[in-house]
Amino acid sequence: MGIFQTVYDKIQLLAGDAWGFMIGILIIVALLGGAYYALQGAAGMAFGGSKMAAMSIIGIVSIVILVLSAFLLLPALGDMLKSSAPIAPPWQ
Amino acid sequence: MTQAGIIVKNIMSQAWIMIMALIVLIAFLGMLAQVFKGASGALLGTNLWVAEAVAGVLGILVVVLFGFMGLPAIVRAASVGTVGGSCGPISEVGQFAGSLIGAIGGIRMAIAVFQAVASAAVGGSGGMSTALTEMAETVFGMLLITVAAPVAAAFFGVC
Repeated sequence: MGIFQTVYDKIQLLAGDAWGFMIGILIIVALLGGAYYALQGAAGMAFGGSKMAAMSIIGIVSIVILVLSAFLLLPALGDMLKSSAPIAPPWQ
Repeated sequence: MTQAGIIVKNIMSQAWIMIMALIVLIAFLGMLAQVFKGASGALLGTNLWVAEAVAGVLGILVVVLFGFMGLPAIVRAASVGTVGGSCGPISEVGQFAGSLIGAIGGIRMAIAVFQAVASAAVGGSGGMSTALTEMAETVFGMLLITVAAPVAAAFFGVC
């Protein structure tokens, strides 16, 4: 990257920090969501609200799927993007 | 002239590589932000957010793949018809200008793709149309040069 290497290193450092921060926030939100849906399901079961319990199970499953997609799918997509990036400029 | 052209093109090549790397970085962060939006939507029970997040991830992927696959082909195609058909100093100047214009056009288009990816990363759609307009402008400008250069060569007296 030549003369732009220093700038790129700093941007990459910032992006890495942002990535770690967002992963942490995502885990917190997923945990809160899981707790919320567990509470909803428990409350539903306590007074016989079967729909509430069913919705809470669906909610927990959907959050798990979303978070798993973030942790498994995104790195794979990123590797694909990195490998398909044109290294040499087209005018060379 | 040739040495100066090599130096300038070298700097532009480094800029091109950096822009491509930045596109990958922004795409990573944008996709994660969209997943975060989807998880928040699932927490709050808003289906629209989840749907928007899935569409956002796919949109970023499409824009980046367009930039990586289509952009080099467009730059190569637009650079094919650069200056030729003259001799003497005008030929050297023309070749220098032609290669420089191709490199500048490529950089402009790469920046346009970067803007489109950044726009898609935050869920916007306006950046994509701006990027496509800018690409069309660049290609049109490069095509105009292929007409203007022979005219200038004739004006200065070709052999």
